[in-house]
Amino acid sequence: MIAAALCALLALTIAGCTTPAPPVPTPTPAFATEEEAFAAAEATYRAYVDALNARHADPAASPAPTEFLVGKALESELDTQRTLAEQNRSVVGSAIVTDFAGTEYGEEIGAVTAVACLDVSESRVLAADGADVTPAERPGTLKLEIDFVLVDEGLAVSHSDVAEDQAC
Amino acid sequence: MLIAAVALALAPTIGVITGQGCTVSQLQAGLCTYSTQEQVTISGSETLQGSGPQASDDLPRSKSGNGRSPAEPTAPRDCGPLNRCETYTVATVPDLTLADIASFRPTTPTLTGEPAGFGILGMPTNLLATAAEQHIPGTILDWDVTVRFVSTAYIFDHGDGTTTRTTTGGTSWTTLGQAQFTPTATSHTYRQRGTYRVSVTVEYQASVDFGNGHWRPVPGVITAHATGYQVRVVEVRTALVDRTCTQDPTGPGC
Repeated sequence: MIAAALCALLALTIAGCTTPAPPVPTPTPAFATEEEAFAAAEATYRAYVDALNARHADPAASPAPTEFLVGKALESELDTQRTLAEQNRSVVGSAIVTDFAGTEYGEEIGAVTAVACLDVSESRVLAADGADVTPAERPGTLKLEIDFVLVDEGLAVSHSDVAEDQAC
Repeated sequence: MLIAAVALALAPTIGVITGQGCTVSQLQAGLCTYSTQEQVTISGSETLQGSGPQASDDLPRSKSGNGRSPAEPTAPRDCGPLNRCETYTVATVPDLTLADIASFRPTTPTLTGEPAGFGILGMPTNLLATAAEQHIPGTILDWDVTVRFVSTAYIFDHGDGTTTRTTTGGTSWTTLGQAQFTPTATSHTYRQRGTYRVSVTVEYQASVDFGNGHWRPVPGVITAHATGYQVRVVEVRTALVDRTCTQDPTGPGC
């Protein structure tokens, strides 16, 4: 016990832990090329949609889809889950990414913007009693514009909205 | 002189504020807002001033009487600022332009934000501008008048190359009953650390009252610009650790 305490004390002295050095902002390496950034964005997005589909099939599925989201996108997702829970509704069936294309890459901040086509025609909204309450006006496919930001050396979805040219 | 200021202030591109967004879940749940694909074509039919009593509705009249005329969209009937479609005599009050009211200037809007002077990377920073309605008495072309400025648009320049155009100057999180760092109509999420100079340009619609209690709008907008609000955007990292720095000096954050 004493030995452990001494060790800790010694380590503390050596590491100079009492005055932690202020974090120095280092320029983000981000991605070497635009293609690399777009590929990383696509991988992130597909992993996110897979996680979402898995979560809809099994509420305990891991990783949680929210792990791929930050900022507005995360808030929207949490809001949606809350809204569905309040209405006792659930989503079944998968969303499919039918197309994904990077449109912008901000090298200095590692931000990527992309458009993706989502096919949700296979997914339904169910009420508590199992009745299909999918809104009739919900489109089967829709083009979304998605913003990604660099979080912990990986990309995360920060914003998602209907693309200007919304048809796929 | 005012016009020159207008042009300068509006130089950056004007972004359009987006709604609540649309994630995959929202799309699945049918919670996204999207425009329908059908476009409404407005045909160029003219609305003529009738001399008789005004019709009780705005439906197009068909002379052929077959009752099967296609539903033509009709423009709302413009009965002028006095809302009089019948013949009337107009007292000759001069038509005004922005140049005539150049001596009237709206006050500079106030600009602040929440949290005051700070922002967190990746989280919404709430911007607040106030530009109250103003009534300024004076004289135009020998008429005693009151000039009214009503704010119609706010263009926030976030200092990071983006701008947002809103119809509101923003409301504090407390007033909105929202939690801190939640999105508002005027919030902005910075994507990089740094200190940003935020400015706002407020567009006012001017109207003039010649003493008869009727506000005559002056075509065009007058802008007022406010600067001087800086946001320092910092990054917040949290980590759940199982030992203190004393116990594990090489642990995360130590």
